[in-house]
Amino acid sequence: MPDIYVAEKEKREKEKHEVGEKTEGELDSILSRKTTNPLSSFAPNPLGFKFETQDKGERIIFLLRKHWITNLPWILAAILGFFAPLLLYLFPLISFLPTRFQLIMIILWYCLLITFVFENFLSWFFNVYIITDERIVDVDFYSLIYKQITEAKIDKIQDITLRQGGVVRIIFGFGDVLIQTAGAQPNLEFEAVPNPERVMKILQELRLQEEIEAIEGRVR
Amino acid sequence: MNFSSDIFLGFADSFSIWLIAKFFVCFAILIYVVFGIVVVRQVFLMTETVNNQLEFPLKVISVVHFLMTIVVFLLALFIL
Repeated sequence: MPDIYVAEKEKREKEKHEVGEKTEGELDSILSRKTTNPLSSFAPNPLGFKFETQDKGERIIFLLRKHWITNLPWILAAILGFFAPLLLYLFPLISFLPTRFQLIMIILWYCLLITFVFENFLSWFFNVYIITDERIVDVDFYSLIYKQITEAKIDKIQDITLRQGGVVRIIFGFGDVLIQTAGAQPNLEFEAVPNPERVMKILQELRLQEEIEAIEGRVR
Repeated sequence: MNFSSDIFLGFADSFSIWLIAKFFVCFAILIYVVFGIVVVRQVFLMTETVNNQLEFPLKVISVVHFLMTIVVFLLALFIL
């Protein structure tokens, strides 16, 4: 009887080590690549990137943003807006104004267009999802003055759901990753991120790694 | 008595519809200038929260944008 117990324990230990090695191996392959492009929406191991609540020694595994195609509506609107004053030749809507007023109106139009483009770019660029070796962080800037940072420990992740539907999402390969966390921890939603299935897999692997660390008593 | 009525008539002559229009346009651009300040502040806050390689260029763009709003305000003030 004691022999059977020892055998099972050894088997379990062996399985645990195999899983651990496999997980570390895949994560290592991600971490061996460095993303130097600061505009990337799917950046494993981003170079020169830090965030406000980052702990000392905490390693950023992934930096995610919404897929670049989600910017298309405002880019098209800006292109149309750029050529909109040309319509004034066809439809002289402001011709009743003195020339100096017309000039200021057109200058103001282009200034507002620049502001529109800059604001939309900032909104896309700074709304990021960060996966570190310890937690996941969702940084949201809803408006000019409202900021929200949501974070959850990886070991608190309970369920991960992938949501991908629609022609554009299928063609360009992006979708939502919904992360449900334990207890009073807030749920997180990674919206329109590229390669959602890969993100999901990485999160699962990190969770597994955290479990192994907890078993081995290596929790930070 | 005549002196004061002359002043009033002179003021009424110069007080045209375009002067009112100028006031409103300048006021609208002044709000835009304030918005420019908010954008600069916002970019500085954002780069504090999420720090990356584009921190400096974005700060420069936000300041240039703010200066642009001031130039537009001055243009409106002098041209109109």
